[in-house]
Amino acid sequence: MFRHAIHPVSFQKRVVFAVPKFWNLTDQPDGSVLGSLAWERYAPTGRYVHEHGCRLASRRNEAKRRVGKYDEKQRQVYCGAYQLSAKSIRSIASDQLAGVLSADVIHQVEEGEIAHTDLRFHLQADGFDIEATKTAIIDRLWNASSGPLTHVCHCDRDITPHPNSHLDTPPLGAYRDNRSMALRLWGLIRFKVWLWFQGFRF
Amino acid sequence: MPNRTDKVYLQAVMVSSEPEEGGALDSRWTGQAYRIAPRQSTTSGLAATTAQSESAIVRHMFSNVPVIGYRELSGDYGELGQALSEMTQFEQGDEWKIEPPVYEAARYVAGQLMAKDVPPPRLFNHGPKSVVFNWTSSNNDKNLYLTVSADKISALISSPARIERRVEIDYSKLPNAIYALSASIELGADDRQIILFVTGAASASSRR
Repeated sequence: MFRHAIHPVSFQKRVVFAVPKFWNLTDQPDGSVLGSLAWERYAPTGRYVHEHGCRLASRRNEAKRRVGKYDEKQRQVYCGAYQLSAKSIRSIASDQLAGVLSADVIHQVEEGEIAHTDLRFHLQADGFDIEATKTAIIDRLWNASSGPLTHVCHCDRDITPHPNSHLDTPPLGAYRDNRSMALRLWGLIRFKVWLWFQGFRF
Repeated sequence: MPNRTDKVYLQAVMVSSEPEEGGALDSRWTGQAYRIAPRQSTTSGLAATTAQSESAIVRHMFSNVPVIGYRELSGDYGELGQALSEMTQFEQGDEWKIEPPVYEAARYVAGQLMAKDVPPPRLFNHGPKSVVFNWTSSNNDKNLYLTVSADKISALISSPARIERRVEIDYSKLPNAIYALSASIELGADDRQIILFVTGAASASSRR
């Protein structure tokens, strides 16, 4: 799974921001907490991962422009991605102090993004404060991450220095694609065949 | 218009630009209920009287966060203050937006940390209802987080393998906890300081 780091360009001026740890976890009506990831199965190479991130940032900026609320200082910039495994995400529930009952990754196409995946946490009902539980979740996700895979979107080449220089390296270290060449090739072929069946053009 | 038998409670609020000794812990301002009583005359109008109440209605401007005394965030904390201010300026629905009561609470906590010479934290959020102050040990193997909501603070210490400690701290006890927190920032030292403020300041969930 890949988690995209997108933030306002203004953040680059503030070293005080722990940029990689910003993660929007939204409260759901059923009491769960929801985040977003990209599934490697549908973003089989770095190119697809970054294209997904660039499209996300571009869509958000475009949505602001449409309603007349775009502010260049708050222009959203895709900086890169961190990798983490579905297994490590699900294991968060085994940490008693995390306050998580279960953690699921569910493929869910959203806004036309075929790699989009919901990250859903069901929380323990034992009195843990929900905001502190979100912090615990982010801590566990951070400690399960490797990276960053930095990137500069074509539309952001005017930004110097690029804010991707603020992306910290997580405890697991730099990203390494440990898949064999055969597995990578298989992943790409499988993805292309799936696209062809779905009628997508990429 | 309230009638003569209605009880109306006013919030006890005091905001000043100068830091005050006692400040948030000044006992005059906790546990107070202000009752508006009708005047003795038949004319309309109300006079406010003060009365202490056994069942304390602890009211502050933002839930139980005593907004008493804004410390100017300066020096290393100046940037933190500006970053917090910036986070209030995002549009509703933006993921970096924080609510005004959260901003106020965070400034208060930052002021307390600054006053105790705690190194400034890094900052992030995961929604509008809180901000998180984060310190990382020099060898990157432990993290300390303070999750600051409008009405509570939670502390969490973690290692790469698991969450080590998790406690909730009452705002009124925060100044006492600061000394222990400042000792824990190194995060390589004996964590008995954490146990001290855990047992002294809050209920705790912990694991050795």
